[in-house]
Amino acid sequence: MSDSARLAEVNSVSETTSVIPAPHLCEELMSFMVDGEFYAVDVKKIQEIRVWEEVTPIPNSENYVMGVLNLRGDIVPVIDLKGYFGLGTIVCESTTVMIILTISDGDSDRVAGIVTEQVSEVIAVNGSVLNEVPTFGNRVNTESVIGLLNHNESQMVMVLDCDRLVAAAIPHKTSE
Amino acid sequence: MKLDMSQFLGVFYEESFEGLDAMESGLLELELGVPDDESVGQIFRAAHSIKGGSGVFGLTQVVDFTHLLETLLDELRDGKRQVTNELRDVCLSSVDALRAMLSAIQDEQSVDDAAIAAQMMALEGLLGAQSSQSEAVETAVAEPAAESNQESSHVGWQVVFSPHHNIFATGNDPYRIIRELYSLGEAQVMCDVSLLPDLDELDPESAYLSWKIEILGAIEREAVEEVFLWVEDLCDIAIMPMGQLEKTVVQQVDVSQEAAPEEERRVESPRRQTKERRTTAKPKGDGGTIRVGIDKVDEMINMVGELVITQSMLSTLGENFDLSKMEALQQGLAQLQRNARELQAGVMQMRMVPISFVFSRFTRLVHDVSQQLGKKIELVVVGESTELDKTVVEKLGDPLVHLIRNSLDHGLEPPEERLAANKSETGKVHLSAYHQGGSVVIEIADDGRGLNTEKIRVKAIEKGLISENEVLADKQIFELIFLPGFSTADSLGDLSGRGVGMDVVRKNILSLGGSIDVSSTVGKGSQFVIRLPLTLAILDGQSVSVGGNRYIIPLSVIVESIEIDLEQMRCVAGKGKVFCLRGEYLSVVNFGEVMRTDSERTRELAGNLMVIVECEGKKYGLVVDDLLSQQQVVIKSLEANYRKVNGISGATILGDGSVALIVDVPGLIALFSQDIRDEELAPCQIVQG
Repeated sequence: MSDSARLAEVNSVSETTSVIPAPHLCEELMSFMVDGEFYAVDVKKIQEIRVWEEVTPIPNSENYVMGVLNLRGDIVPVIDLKGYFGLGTIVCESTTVMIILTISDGDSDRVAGIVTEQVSEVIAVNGSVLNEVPTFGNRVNTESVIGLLNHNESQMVMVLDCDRLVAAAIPHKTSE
Repeated sequence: MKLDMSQFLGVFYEESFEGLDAMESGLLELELGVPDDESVGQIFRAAHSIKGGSGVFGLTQVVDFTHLLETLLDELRDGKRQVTNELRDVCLSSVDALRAMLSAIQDEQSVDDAAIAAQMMALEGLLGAQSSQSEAVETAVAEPAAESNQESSHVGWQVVFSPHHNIFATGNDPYRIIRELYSLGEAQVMCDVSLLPDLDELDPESAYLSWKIEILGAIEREAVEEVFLWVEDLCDIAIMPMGQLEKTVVQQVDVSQEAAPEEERRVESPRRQTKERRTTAKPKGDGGTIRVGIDKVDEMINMVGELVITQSMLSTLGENFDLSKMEALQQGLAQLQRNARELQAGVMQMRMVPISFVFSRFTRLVHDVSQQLGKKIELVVVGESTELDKTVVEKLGDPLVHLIRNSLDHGLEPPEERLAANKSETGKVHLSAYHQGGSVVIEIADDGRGLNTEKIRVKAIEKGLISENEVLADKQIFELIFLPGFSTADSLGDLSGRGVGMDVVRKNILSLGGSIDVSSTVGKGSQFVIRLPLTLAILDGQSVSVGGNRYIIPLSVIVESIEIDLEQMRCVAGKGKVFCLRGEYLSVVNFGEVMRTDSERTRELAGNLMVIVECEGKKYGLVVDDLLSQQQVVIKSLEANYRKVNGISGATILGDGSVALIVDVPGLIALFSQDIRDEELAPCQIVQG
């Protein structure tokens, strides 16, 4: 069951529609920064965090797919999140990191990396509540955002559904 | 015990299917008339071990069926019958039925009872059993519900009971079981002592005897089975209605000397299986298994041994290293490299299987088709032992079947036509396989009427594949048959000509990294040549650099590499660039442009290199920045974590740990052709000098 499906279940029983409890199966979130904003993913989905290294670009692929990486013999695609969200192209520096995610795609698992400007911290979710993502019509792609988390009083963290994110960014099947 | 058995079930199926294949090829080789003992014996043994195995796993239906077949083969072996076409066909279709039955059981689907019953009838018809007998069985199998009642009208049952050695250890006593049989009806017991060892070797707690028991009277099958219920897993048991076997039984009693070795084999076969099981039983997985010769494994173990020695040598060297030991280090590294190479080759060798796995089925195919079409056909197979990667062999089956059917159906003429054309009545199809360089070549040649260029042309115009006034060379016309939706068959036959034809064949071959060519002479026959890489996992590649990235181009498609000479550059219609290579004009494919790797960078052709590649019979000049080394690369899938990328067939990891992409040349050419069509190409400027 994907995070969002779980959430939908929770959502249906919650009394208010604007505030929903955090998915109880995801206890800890790893937050990171993309283009000055904070995002977070379920720590359980994270296989490892690596320092940025050069990847091999793939011709004829999406602009936000930076290339493929040799992860101990596995060929792993690396996604530029900034590019995927349409915020430009990431500039790789010393703080740039790759978060390697293991996502479930149908029956099998896939490995993919996302590039972020920096990772910040692990947030314990217990008790916190997720705010529903406001709709912006077609202007903003919020498909892979599960909800918004209010962290340290004022900081907004967008919680991402890794499965959906990767499936939407790099569909497995040839789109011909 | 039950659990143990299921573990071996996979091996049993594997062996049974192998046995069936052996039976099939044996049957096809049988000459009409009096058969030679060797080949009949081989078929008989295969049938026998299937029967034995099925008995062990309680597949009574298979046992009953195989038994009939075995009885027939036994008569053949004893020279009581001669090989006739009828007998051969019945045996062949029995093999088919048996195969269908086993695969149905394997897939846990229901067995087609009616088909089996029909087949059993055919067998019995041949066996010439009493008419009442076959009638009884006919009704029995057609109406399974009534089975027991009908069968009980038999004169009695024949039971072959061979307990396993450890039967006493479980507290069971064969004697008590036999005594119980007496209570069912009049029984005759024959004891087989052929396995009894000498007294000094005899283990008093082991069972060595087996029995043949005939029980007379109208007894239900269940009643007999019930007696053996407790020892089902501890013995080999076969229960057969007696009437059918009367003939053979008498025979066996008469010449008990002769029956003994057979009995021995029967008991021996499960033991032999156990031995094999030990070596072949592997963890279950959907990937299937490969049988590897013990010599190959031994060789591997030797290599690993050497690798370990080299490794320990190097680590001793590394413990207190100084520059004086440099030479020793280099030697050690060279040795390590050699070990790794050998090991790699050894591992690849394990995946290699002889191509006879595919070829063997064609004897049968040709046999069936020649009867169906009323043509006389001879299949000549050469180079069956040529080894190929298992995956390639598996995927090769369907395309080859298609090509051979085409040859049989369209290529070879009926006898009258052949005679009229002054050819021998029997058409010949040559199927050969051999190694050539780093690839395996498979040729399918027939001496039929050859491809009719005029007919293909008309058809192609009809289908709108070419225009009416297009002038094509013969070679180009032959290429047309590989286009989708092309079929020259006048009538849609059962065999081929359904319109899904050669394009699929070509696609399959291409997906294996191979190529297919056709040549033909009217009246003399046609020839298809398939070239395949030895293996799918490793590739000989030329690494090139384009826009700062490294790519691997398979060496098999590269004709040559040259430096671009602008004098030889031409523009066609002011647009497409061509290069004149010794009088031959090639399309120039700009790698960077097609792959859109460096759109900003304007490419100076001068001083750059061009790799001439061949794709589907045409040559192209691929412009690259630099040629790097030639190397063997291990192919990694890009699709596992990402997806199929046009123009790229996979990825590999280079010595420095970085990833290089492997170019799919046909895909790249397709992209290139698409570009030409899609985009209005800017007029090219060739700056001379």
